[in-house]
Amino acid sequence: MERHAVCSTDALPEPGTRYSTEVEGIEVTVFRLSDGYFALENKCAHQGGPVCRGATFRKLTAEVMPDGRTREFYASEEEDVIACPLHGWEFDIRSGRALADARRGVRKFAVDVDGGDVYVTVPQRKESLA
Amino acid sequence: MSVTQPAPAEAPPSTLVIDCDVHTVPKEGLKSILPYMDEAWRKRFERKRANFGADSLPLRYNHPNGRVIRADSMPPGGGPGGSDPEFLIADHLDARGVSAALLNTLQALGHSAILAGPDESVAMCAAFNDFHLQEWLPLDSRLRYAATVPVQDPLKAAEEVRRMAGHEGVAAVALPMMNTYLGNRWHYPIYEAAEEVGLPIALHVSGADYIYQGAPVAAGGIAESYAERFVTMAPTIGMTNLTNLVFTGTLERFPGLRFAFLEFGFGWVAPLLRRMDSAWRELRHETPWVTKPPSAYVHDQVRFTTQPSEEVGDKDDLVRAVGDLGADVLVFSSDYPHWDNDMPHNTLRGLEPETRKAILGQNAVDFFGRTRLGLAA
Repeated sequence: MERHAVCSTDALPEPGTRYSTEVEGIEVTVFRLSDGYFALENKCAHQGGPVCRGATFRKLTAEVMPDGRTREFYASEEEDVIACPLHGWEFDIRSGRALADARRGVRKFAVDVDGGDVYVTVPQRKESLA
Repeated sequence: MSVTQPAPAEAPPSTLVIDCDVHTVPKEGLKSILPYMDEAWRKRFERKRANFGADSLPLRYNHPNGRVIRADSMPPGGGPGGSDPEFLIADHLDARGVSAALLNTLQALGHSAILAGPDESVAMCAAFNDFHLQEWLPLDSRLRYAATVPVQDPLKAAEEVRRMAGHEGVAAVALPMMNTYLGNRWHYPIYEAAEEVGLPIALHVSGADYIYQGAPVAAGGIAESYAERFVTMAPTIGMTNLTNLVFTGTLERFPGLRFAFLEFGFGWVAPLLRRMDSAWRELRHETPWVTKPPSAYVHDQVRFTTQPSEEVGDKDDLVRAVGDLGADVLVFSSDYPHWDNDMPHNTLRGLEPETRKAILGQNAVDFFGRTRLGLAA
């Protein structure tokens, strides 16, 4: 695994912003949320679409109430779900997991911030081809 | 990367890719095709403030994302995905290694089927067809066209079939579906013409289905949401019409006639064929003009596009599903630029290479013919 500086924190000035780049031949997007930075590969788990170019949403969910009615509500306070622009598969930005099927997910990379720079750790090109 | 840049070129597949369902839309709606009408019709439509768009859909059937077009298919110069031929060529044909694409316009289908009156639809279909012949097909020999015919007037539709057959680049007749099954003799003049000129009939839902009186009706009740309608509409319309084509003897009466079911899926076909074959053996005397098992007619005269592909959990399930049906009746389609599209490099994985190769390209070549697809002999 290789740690790469990908951008300054200035590139992600506030929660809800994102920064896309290529590292070791992998298209990576770093997302800033209220509790930190998260990096996903720009390759949908469904058909390989450019998922990180999709729109973001709050996590909409619903539950069946004791009276049998359904209650629809947001399970998150910020837009921490991204939907692929091709078919609309939704992913949790923090975990990379698909909302409709947690067994499926977008590849997620470790992110850390040091001295005003954002670092992403990805497999080295040679490893990623292995 | 902007969402309006053409897709980066993917590694071209090692095999021929024929895309049997690509959607175009006139950039400025009806205004784009008005120049292809005579003045009287042009003025009538202008005075009527005619136009078309998805805004006529009931709210319950609007896509929850607000559009059915892939966000990344929007041309940089504006307009909906599928409205800019140059961008479509770069973003889809070039990037995905597509050797021929059958263009199909839902706005023409919907207006021909029900949204326009019979006389209006005659004028509209001819204009849609001439618009594509002049503004799309000359740009790239990979662009092939399914010419829409005015099904509400079968004699005029037959005339249009014969007129279109003379144009290089027309590879199929796009026949809109009404609330009259395809085996109904209403369609016979159209079938006679199609059989005569050797053009297959391409079928596709029009968008008016399940909504307007006169369009194919919903089976069993009214779907409550976009998702429900999306899941059930095409397969149920496909099942009933395919069964009708067989048992009315239409496929027997027109042995040279061929049908391509575009975007109806294929997972439902094998169980239906088994059920039809079984019923035919037991009830044969009710339809004695059906002289061979229904499945035999289908294998001889009908094809189904793979999109929307059956997204199974295990690739062995796909192998079984295709094996159950027979790969000979399957042809690839992407449905570009619609949201539920399948891209050639990311679908049908797990099949034997020869089977995948046949579905991606060769089966369509055999069905439409090399000349009609613009391929070198």
